Amino acid sequence: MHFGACGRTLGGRVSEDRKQGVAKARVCGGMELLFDGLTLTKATVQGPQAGGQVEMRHVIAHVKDHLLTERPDLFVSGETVRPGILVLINDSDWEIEGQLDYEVQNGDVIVFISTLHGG
Amino acid sequence: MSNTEGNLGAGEDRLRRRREPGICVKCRTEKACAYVREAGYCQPCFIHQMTGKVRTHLTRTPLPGDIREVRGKCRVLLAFSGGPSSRVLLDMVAHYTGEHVNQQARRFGEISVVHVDESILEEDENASCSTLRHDIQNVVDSYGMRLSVVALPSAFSTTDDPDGRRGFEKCRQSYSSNGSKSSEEDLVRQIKMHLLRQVALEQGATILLTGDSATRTAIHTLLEITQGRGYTLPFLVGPTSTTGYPDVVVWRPLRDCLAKEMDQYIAFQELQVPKNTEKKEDKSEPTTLYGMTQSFIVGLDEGFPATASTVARTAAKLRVAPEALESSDERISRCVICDLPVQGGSQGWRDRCAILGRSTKADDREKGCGDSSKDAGCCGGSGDSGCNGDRPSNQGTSSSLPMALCYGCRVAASADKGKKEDVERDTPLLWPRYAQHALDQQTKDAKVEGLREQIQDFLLEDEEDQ
Repeated sequence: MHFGACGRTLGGRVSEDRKQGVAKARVCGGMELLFDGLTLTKATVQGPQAGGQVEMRHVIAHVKDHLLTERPDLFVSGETVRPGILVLINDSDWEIEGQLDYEVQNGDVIVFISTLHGG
Repeated sequence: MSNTEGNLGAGEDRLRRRREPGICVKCRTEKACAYVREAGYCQPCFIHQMTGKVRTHLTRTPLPGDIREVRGKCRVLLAFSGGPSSRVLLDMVAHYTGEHVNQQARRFGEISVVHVDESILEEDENASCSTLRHDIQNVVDSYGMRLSVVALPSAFSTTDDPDGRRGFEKCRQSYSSNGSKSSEEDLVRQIKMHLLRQVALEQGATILLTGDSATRTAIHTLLEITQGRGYTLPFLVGPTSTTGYPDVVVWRPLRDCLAKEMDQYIAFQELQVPKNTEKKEDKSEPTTLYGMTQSFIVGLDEGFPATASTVARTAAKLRVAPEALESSDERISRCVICDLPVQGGSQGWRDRCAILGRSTKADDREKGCGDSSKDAGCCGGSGDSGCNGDRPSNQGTSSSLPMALCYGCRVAASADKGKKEDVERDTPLLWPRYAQHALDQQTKDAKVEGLREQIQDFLLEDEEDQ
């Protein structure tokens, strides 16, 4: 979809004993700068409790804590993303999917795109 | 009665089905995957409605000149920065022209692409320049169009400085010398627009297409007002620039599409975007007027999704008063930097500004005035401390800024930080070559006009001559 090779891929294995989501996250539209050039990664995200569902709010917190390398205030605002960042879950706008309450499934592809661009 | 209830029921049902969550509002069968202004669309419907908006603009906007003469022959230049918006524009225009292979249905002649190389503004200039140029060339080639590249500093090229780099840097520094990046951004914007129009002229194009989205238009509407360009706002943010520029008409076919729609279109169509990075500011808080306006609009748009489109559509209704453009007693004077009409009396208005910014106590002490309690920031010359007092009027000073500047360019070039003495520069700015040329021409015209006035009484009328 975008020029340049995808960045580092952080691996995560599916663990059967605990409920967790393995999702692919992609960042583009200039947000790569906040992720040290990382454009595509596979991340294993765990819910707050054993057996609990993993929601988008947990994914965002995971991205903020583990993948973001600088200036988190340019990515997150509270527990959600900053205005101007478009989130696609499996090529579908996350506003349709329920935003923070969306329950992440194994293999979901989540894309964060900055819409704050010039021409 | 029962009929009325039945109709109401059907209407409500239609409305309910129309807004059924997760279902496309157009086809009402597919699952929605794009969400725009509180309406969900499936992928085919989203692409259809977005291309429809652009196609409508390209089809219905009046062509410059006599339609019978220019139809199918009108050359078009597309400004392509490599960013998401212009990438979408390129794709849509290519599809639009591809649809009309029939000569009868063709509206435009040849469409070519221009890219303004801004790598001089990048930190790692060489690396970013070569990669971006290569990627842009690949994208344009894939549509079979011709690409022209013009470098930003070329507006300053002289015999001593062929590529214009030294001149550009000098001018840029003088604009940003006061620490204000906004003036520098404004300068770059004006030079870019000039270069685009220059290439259009060289190629004989009469229409220039730019990828300004509704979000960008909304941001620019507020930005241009804050920068003193309210008079020329209709030319800068309207669907077309109409008579704004003397040589070329600027069309903005994407001005009904939000920036978010661009990104969704790119994701759905899997388009390659050469310049998919944005220069981030070093601070989390925006430091330029553009950054602040962008944060404001985007933040507001998050809670009220129609904000950007409402501002953009409202701005599209603005018109310049016809009498201002069709003044019979004098020619329309144009700004030497932005080449847009200058509102009469802009210099006087600027001179009457009593408060140009916040004055600090340190500034007052430097001026020998300790009284900053008054509105103007100092005692106004009433004290015994030797303060000259920043009177609103411009008495006793002569600005080195030429009269042929519009209010917005005058503000940007003044580099004022709130202190009047900054406005009155001792050393003149280094102007871009085209501006210097226009300035020289205006000075020459003024001299000729002055001489004509002096000898007016001695001139013989044609009738008297006979």
